[in-house]
Amino acid sequence: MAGRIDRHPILGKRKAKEEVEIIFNGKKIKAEKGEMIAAALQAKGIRIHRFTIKNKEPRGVFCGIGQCTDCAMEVNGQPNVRTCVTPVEEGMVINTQYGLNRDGDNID
Amino acid sequence: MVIILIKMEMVVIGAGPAGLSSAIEAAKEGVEVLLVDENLKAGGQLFKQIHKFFGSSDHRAGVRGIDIGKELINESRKLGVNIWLNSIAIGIFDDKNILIKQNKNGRESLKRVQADKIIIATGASEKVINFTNWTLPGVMGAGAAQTMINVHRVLPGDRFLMVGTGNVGLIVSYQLIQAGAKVVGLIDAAEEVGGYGVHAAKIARKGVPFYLNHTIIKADGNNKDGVTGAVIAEVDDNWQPISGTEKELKVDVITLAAGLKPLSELANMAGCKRTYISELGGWVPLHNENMESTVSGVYVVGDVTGVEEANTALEEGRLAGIDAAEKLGRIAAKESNNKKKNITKRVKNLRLGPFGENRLKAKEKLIKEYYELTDKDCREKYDPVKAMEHQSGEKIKRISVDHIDKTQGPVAVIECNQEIPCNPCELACKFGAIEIGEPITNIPILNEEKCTGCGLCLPQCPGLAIFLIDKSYSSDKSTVAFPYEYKHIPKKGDIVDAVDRQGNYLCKAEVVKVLQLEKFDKTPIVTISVLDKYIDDARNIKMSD
Amino acid sequence: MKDDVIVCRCEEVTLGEIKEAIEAGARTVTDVKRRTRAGMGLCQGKSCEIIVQRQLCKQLNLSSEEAHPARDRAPVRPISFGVLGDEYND
Repeated sequence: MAGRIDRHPILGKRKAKEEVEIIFNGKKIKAEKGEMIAAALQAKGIRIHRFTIKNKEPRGVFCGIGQCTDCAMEVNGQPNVRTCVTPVEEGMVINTQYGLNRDGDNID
Repeated sequence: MVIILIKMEMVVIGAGPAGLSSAIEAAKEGVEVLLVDENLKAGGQLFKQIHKFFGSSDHRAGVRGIDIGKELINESRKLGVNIWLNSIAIGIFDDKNILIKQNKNGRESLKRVQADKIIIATGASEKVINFTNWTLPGVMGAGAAQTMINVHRVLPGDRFLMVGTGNVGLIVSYQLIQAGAKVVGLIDAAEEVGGYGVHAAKIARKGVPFYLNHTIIKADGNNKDGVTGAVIAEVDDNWQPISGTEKELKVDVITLAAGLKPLSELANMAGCKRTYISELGGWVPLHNENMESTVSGVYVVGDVTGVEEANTALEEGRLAGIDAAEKLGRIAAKESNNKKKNITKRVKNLRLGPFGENRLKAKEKLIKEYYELTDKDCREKYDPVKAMEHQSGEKIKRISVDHIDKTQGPVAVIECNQEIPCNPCELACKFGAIEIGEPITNIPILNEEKCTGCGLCLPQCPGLAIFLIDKSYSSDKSTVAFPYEYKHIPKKGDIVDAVDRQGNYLCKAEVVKVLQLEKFDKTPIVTISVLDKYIDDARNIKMSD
Repeated sequence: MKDDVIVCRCEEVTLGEIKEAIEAGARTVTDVKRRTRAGMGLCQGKSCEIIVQRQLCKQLNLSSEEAHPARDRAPVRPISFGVLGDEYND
């Protein structure tokens, strides 16, 4: 089942972790303290992180280790933040990035 | 802007198994070490490896990667290794200066670290294959899926297609099943599974299908959901998809396990020479048996020198750490050699069997190329054969004067093969033996029947590209005449070194004639005699000091 | 493979554009980079360089050894102007 892995044969049972609240596209969602933004979003089934400049196509996690920048989103007002290597913080504002999030970049 | 300068005996870039073990070995001998890693945690890829390692007890076989990682980090801390995490070495400059973007307590600043020894342990990154719609969210590297499930404990989908059956593809498929996913299948264009049989057997006995001789045609999906399916097809002997064999698979994640390639940007910036060896992942920096690169004092260890496993990375790291400590005067050569000998023996044991043999041969080839390059003083050489080939478009093995007969007498040879606007040679020849015509960019053609061997064209060529060859000089010797516009002109009778088109020594030569005429306009023509076998290559001289 | 398949994910360069560049005279990875921007994006060719190399080999009949990678320059990871210009010393 997609989402958080509760039981794992090697990693064991998922321990309850301190929760933080983050805001994704205006909606409040719960995340585990210190986890990567991409993981918090994926746990809620969110895997579209941004839309490209030229073709306005969706992108999400590709390399998962901060090398490819496809997972980049606007975080606390700053664009191009690599969400797979950036931990969540209480009250963090995360928005889908359109192009470089400049005027005229919106998909509609 | 002021960048703080820090001096360090040794800087290790990359805190994976190779970097950690080199830092540990050096720190054991008292070397001051700075270990830098761009990630938030040290350990490199070890933290994704929840499976038990292969190898021998020396390599902690049977222990899970995550546990090995923890042990190494603890050991390095105890030995006093300085560790900067979340810090990126953004470049290596002259004199082993490294610019590091340090992140300390959330504050970023640039630090310049001047190191005596640098160990580059930057690892490898995933190769990709592309196909229609591969940019849809849900298509990711196998390593990305592995990070998600083993490090972040989040499963990025329900139904997975794994592309590639090397060890990464097999291991991650197994770990996906452990995490609760359904692996709908593994595909590989090859006809055999690429990784270890035992890894494949684990998933096969879970009922997971293997589609060998198959490739992925496209991902299906849309802008709202990302990947919703995949189309695969069988391939023929030329790796081309066979129409009519398409199969649609319902998946929401497609993981690519197409192999790994070294992340050698810093090594390349530091000037380390590299070579292409496909068994090691592609372009790899050269190194010797002590893991030192072609730049003295810069070592390369682990996956960046060839994609292998954590056990070889650990050993290579140890070799470099010990050698660097020896060169820094912290350990006697005898003790160092003993330690290195034991490690080298252990490494050889890891490179056995059908999988290891290829890597062993590849590493031997790499070390051989290292010595071939460094013995030549590491100079970049102009290769005239390649230049001629490139210009003429033909494949040339060597430039020769085979077409000249031993009894022929002197004849001109024009080594000018590019279309440049120039025709003094045509005008210089009184006998009309050189033809260029119009346009003057035409390549000069020498008509040997008209050439009298007078040599008047030699001083007239602005490119100094005409030589006069006389094979009839003696029964075993030939002469070559060439323009020589330098300060010290040899005299008739001098014995000099004859060199080839790259300045390499060929043989001793006698100067048989030196012509300095006013009409030559300060271009002396020197004629030397060499044994017949050198006449193809002797085109210049080096005078003894 | 269709010409509209993406090669460079960061700059959204297609296979067709790479082919055109090679037909127009590009002979190396750097030549292709300069004409199409493939390899100039945020990941600096980590994903696409190998695809460009494969295409060069295929289209120009080169061996892998002949398709040299592009030159690596600092910074090897994206870095903000703020960090470069910062006057913070500790």
